[in-house]
Formats: sequence, C-alpha cells, structure tokens
Amino acid sequence: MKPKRSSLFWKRTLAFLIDLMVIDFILSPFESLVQNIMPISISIFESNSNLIWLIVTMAFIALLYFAMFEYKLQQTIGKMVLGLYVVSEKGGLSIWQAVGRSIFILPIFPFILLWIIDPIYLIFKKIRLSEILTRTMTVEEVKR
Amino acid sequence: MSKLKSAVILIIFLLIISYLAASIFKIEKGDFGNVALIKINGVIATESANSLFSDQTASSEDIVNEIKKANEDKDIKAILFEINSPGGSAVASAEIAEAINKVNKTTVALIREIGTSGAYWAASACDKIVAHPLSVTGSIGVIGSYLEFSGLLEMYNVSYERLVSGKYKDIGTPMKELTPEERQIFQSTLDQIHEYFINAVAKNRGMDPEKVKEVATGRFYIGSEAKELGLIDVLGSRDEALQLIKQEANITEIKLVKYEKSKGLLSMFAGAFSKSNLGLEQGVKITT
Repeated sequence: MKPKRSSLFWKRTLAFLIDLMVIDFILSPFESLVQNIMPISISIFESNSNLIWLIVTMAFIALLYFAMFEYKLQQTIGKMVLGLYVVSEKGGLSIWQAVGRSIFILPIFPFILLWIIDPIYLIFKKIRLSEILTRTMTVEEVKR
Repeated sequence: MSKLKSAVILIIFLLIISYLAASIFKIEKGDFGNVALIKINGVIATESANSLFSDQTASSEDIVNEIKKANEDKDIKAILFEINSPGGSAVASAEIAEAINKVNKTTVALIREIGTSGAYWAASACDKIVAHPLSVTGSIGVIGSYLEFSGLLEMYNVSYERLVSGKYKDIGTPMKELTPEERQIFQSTLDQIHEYFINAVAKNRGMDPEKVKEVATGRFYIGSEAKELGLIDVLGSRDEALQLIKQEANITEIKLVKYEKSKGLLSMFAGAFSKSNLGLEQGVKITT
C-alpha cells in the first residue's frame, strides 16, 4: 500500500468546492421549488413551515452524498479528483463514522456549531473536530 | 466494480432520491403571503448602524430596497408598514416617503408606540394611517441643536485656532459660539426643510398646507388627538390595519410576509466597531 499523509488544506477546500458543484447537480430537481421562494430577503420561515422541511430535506440529501460516497468508496467526487481518501483507525469507515463526519451539513442545532468549529480546527490542527470525534482522517497518497 | 462505475451508480441513486423528495413538496409563489410587512423600527438613517451594542436603526437604503421588492412581487397585493420610530434623518425619511409614493399597490402605515417626525413623514406617504389611541405621532418639525464646548475649552485654557478658507466653512463646529449671521443661516436652512416637510405631508395626505402648518409646531400628539386633526385615518392596532387592507386592496384572506434584510452575526460584530457606533466624525446633524 502506498504511504499516506494528512491532506493539504487547499486540496481539501478545492475538493469540497467540487463536491458542492456535484451536490448542486444532484439537487437540481429542487430548482423550481427554490425559485418559488425568491426573493431570499423574505423571512420565509415565519410564513411557511413547509420551507424548514424543504431545507432540511435538501441538507439531508447532501449528507447522504458525503456519507454514501465515503462509506462505499472512501472518497467523494471532489476527493477523487484531488486524490484524497477518508480513512479510520481500522481502514474503512463504518456507516456511523461516514454519517458522523458529515453531520455538520444538517442546519440543526447543535450540528450548526460545526460550521464555525470545523474550519477553525482545520486551519489550526489540520483536522476537523468532526473527524476527531468519529476517529476518521482525510489523507492523500505521497508520490515518490 | 470500478470506482467510477460505483460513483455513477451512487449519483443516479441520489438523483432519484432527490427527484422523489422534490415531488413531495408543493410550494407555489403565492404560498408565502399576499401582504408585505415592512418594519420601520428605531431612528431613521440613510445607512444601517445596527450592532450588538447599539440601538436599532431603520436604514432608508434597506427599507427602500424592501419597498421596491414588494412592489415588484406580483403576489404582493398590499404593503403594511409597521412603524415604531421617533424619526431621524430628513433625507432618509424623505427617501422612504418618496419610495412609498412610487408604490402602485395599497399601502397602510400602522403607528404602534411612536411614529413621530420623519417616521410620520414616511407614514403620511401611505394610503391610510392607523395608530393606536395612545401612540405618539406628529412632531412635524426640524431640529439641528448641538452641544457647544467653547466655554468648557476656555475653562481648561484651550483655544480654538480658526483656520478656514471660506468664511462659513466651520459653521456649526462645537468649538466656537455661533455668530448671529451663522445662526441666521442655520435657522433659514431649518425653516426651508420644515417648509418642505409641511408641503410633503400636505401633498401626501391631501391636506391644505396652511392646515398642516398650524399643527406643524414640532408638537407631538397622541393617536386620538392626531385623528381629530386629520393626521391619521383610523384608531386601532394591527387587526384594524389588516381590516383596512382587506377593504382597500379587496383581499378576502391576508397572509403576511415579512420583508427584511437578513443580518448575519459577522455584520453585527462589524457594526459594533463601526465609526458611527464609536461616535466618531459626528458634527451637526439635522434631523426631523
């Protein structure tokens, strides 16, 4: 097996951006619904509780994308492009580890706190708090 | 199975899930309401200075944007302005009033606790004004008062070195007393703005400017007095305002939708340390 090291910050960021584009494609069936809730400046949540479920459903599908790809392939599309892998202490990921490391996507308290905490951990410790808690790591192959 | 093949299968699977989930939701544009609610809370200013540590400001820039959006939205049949403001900048108040005048839908102002001066100016541009009998309104006047520190400076043996090119360049500086000529200039400016204010209210309310002038002493009135003077149309609260909208816009059911600028945590922190909150660079302010 090829030696691995912690992935670089810029590679992780770029991989995440690519994943966002893929998610945007996956969520395209919601496009017409989202356009109906424009303009976005409206306090829509007060006027229609249906919308909370719409946002949560879309976030849940995004969570499914990360969890399924990382559970099955140890990589998302973005990570495949950048040559990154997700590993655990035992090698592959369990379904709970895969879900846990991406749970931050759900816009629900307390997971929403990870939107701030995870990037701070990533910048200063080179690993997300979600990764520490799920005992997983994002690594890249070292070319020789 | 190769990784690429697995990835394609997973994406197709997620697309199917996404399609099925999207088909469950039925959201039409009209579901979000047919009456826009725009709040005018706090001191009216041209730009927002809201923060964690300061009083609320009603930014004319934001409010005018909200008015435009509500006016352009086909599903919005009327706009309700909920006012709780003592007024503020003359320019900002006029901007809001002018934006309301351009609306081609029913507009109703609801004065809650206070809707005086510039806030009343904005309210006057609406088709109808509703105010609680105990609310405070009116105060049609202009103020440009400020603290003058020349005596204090003298006490501490500090002198003001006047270096100006243009004899009125430092008019209104708190470092020196106003000369009678400068006082006259100030008073004349305030009178002109007052006249403009009176004419705007008269035009908006369809009143005789002379009649508005009689009540435009800067005095405030409670709702019941304002009704007698013709400054408002209906005494009541939100229920009465909504009832009025139903009649004016010919709507049977009202669904209110709040139009407001969303404020992020970061912008609040940024606002906390803005120059305006620290009281920097504040000279004479003419407010209504």
